[in-house]
Amino acid sequence: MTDSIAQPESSNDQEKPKRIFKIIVIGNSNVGKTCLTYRFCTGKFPEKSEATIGVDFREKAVEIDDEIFKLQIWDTAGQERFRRSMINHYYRNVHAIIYVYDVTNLATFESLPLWINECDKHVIDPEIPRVLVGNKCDVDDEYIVVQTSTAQRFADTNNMPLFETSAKADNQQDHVNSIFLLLAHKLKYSKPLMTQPKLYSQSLISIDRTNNNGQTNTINSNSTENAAGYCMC
Amino acid sequence: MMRIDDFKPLENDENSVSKSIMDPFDVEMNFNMLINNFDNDDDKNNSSKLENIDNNLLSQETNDDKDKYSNEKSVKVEYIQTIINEPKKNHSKKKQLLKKYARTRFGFINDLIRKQAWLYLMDSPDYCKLKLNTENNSQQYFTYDGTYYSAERKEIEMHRDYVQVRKDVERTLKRFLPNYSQNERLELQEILIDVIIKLLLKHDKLNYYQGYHDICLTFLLVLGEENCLPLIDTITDTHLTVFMEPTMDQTIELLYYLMPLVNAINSEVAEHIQRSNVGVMFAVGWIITWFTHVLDKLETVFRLYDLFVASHKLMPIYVAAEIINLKSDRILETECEMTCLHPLLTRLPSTLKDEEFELVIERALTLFDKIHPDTLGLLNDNWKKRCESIKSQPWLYDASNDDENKSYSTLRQRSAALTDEQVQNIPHFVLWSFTLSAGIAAIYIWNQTQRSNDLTQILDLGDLFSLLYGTR
Repeated sequence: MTDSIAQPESSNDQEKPKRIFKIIVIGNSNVGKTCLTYRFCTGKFPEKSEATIGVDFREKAVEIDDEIFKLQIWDTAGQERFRRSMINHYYRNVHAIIYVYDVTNLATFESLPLWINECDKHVIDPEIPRVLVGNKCDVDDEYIVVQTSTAQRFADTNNMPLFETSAKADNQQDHVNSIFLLLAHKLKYSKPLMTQPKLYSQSLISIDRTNNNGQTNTINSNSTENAAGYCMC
Repeated sequence: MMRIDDFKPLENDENSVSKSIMDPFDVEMNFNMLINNFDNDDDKNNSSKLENIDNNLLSQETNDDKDKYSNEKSVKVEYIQTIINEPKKNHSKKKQLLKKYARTRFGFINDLIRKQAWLYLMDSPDYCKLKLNTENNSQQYFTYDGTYYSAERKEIEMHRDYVQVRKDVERTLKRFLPNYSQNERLELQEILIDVIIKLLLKHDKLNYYQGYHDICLTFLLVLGEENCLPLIDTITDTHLTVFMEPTMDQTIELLYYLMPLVNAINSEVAEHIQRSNVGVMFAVGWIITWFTHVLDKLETVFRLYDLFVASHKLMPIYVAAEIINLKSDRILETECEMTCLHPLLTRLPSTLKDEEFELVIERALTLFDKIHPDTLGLLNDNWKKRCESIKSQPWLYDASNDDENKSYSTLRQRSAALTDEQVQNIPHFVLWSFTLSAGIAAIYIWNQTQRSNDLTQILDLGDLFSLLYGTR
């Protein structure tokens, strides 16, 4: 990843540059990736959550030390065949990774090395912030098969913090939020990251401004003339 | 023109038609007459009503329209029922006709007709033939040897995909209409798990994928437990095996046909999508679930299935392309950025109204006739070439650069809009070719306008160059 090179247009931009962080959420099927991201982004637990086919996208703005960031969260399908063939496209340029397992399902924990290997293959930056999340902690202790100590050892070995939480339990909302906020905080104070010149919601406004300053009009007036040249490519 | 009054409602009283066309000769005559009548009527109606849809697509459906549709639907229902109730000797003809009506407006219209029609349309596998049940006159027209797929409980639960299938099926709550009680739903879900695993047991080379359960559930809901297994088997063999390879590589290959098709019908929106670097994965859930996963209305899903069971296995791609085309304005209004386009595109099919789907289906069929699947490879090659030219533009995403530098992507950038900077990036030979062509054209025009016999007045290419470079 490199620092962004601000486009000339963005220097005219009156808006404060807003940083955008891309986070990918991965882990086995049915560990609660969709519920976790949904909980964070909407503050609710989805009652009728279905298997994710392909990749879903959610986003939420967060404020860290008076600065607003946009977190773009890519929620991925859990089945292995999707991981092997499809998810690669979404690893590109991510800023952080959330690995999720289900504390009531040992297999989901045991698959983590596979996910980590897969990730290492596609994510260029070895320093990229990662967290490990054990989901479904709201269940009775007797159903918990992945013990905290085991998970903590694994997290330490792989140099990432561990969170045990529940997307389902309303009282865990703050805890779920803190996972994402921790990542945002890490990203803010890590090496300089790319900046996105505009917010999506504001981009249309800035386009209008660009249109009014005459520069874009010149582009448009050239367009007809150059169209033929373009087609010839 | 056929009047509704010519028919009695057959849904409720099937025997009435059987009685009215009792004599075999009359049956044939009536049948042909009906076909002709209906064909003419259908064509007329189709063309005029399609125009109507085209014109009023986005406007509110008036009550008149609704009435018109309901008349058209009930006529079609009655007609299809007549076809189905014909004696067995017309089986292949029936199939042919039903195939046609699966693809025309509103498909098979209701579940009762749909179930019967699908049973005719889809051949059961040779090793497990559905047989017409002539002994009783109930709704269940076919039976099959149920022992073929039977499997031990243990065998089912030991299957490599059992856990995954169970997880996915248990999460299909939203697919069941509210008229299912919780117990009924749970029962159906257990049946669905068994159906899927029994099929996989019979075909070991098939690999379950998340989304296959959506398709199987749809067949289960329409055909019922008693008939669905052999027919899912058939449709899996003819339409879905490509998704069930050990890896999804072939699925992705197939998805790559989407953008060339979009490009063929709407190059502007194709370029917008391509430029955003959103890829084609937004459509994976559309294609591998036949849109079941993305559509909220079960009725719409059934309607699409009418088309798909009666069409080539790539028809979902054609439908996908036409959905994108239909909603191109909305796509073009959206910022040319992956994170903006991905959420819009993945949910795009659910934004279509029923009548818009009819339009999409109509257009997809036309597109299919124009661009046969055999030619998609070539189309894809052309699209790849075009993508290279799109990518070579400086404002486009380049994997080697960070993709945050997208101030370019703020506006719907028409393919024609090239800045001076972009012009500089056009390969030199293109500029030279253009200059040369313009020069030759200028010479030609000059010579034509002179029209004199004086050879000194005739310009040639040498003159042009000397003009350009000021030498002789």
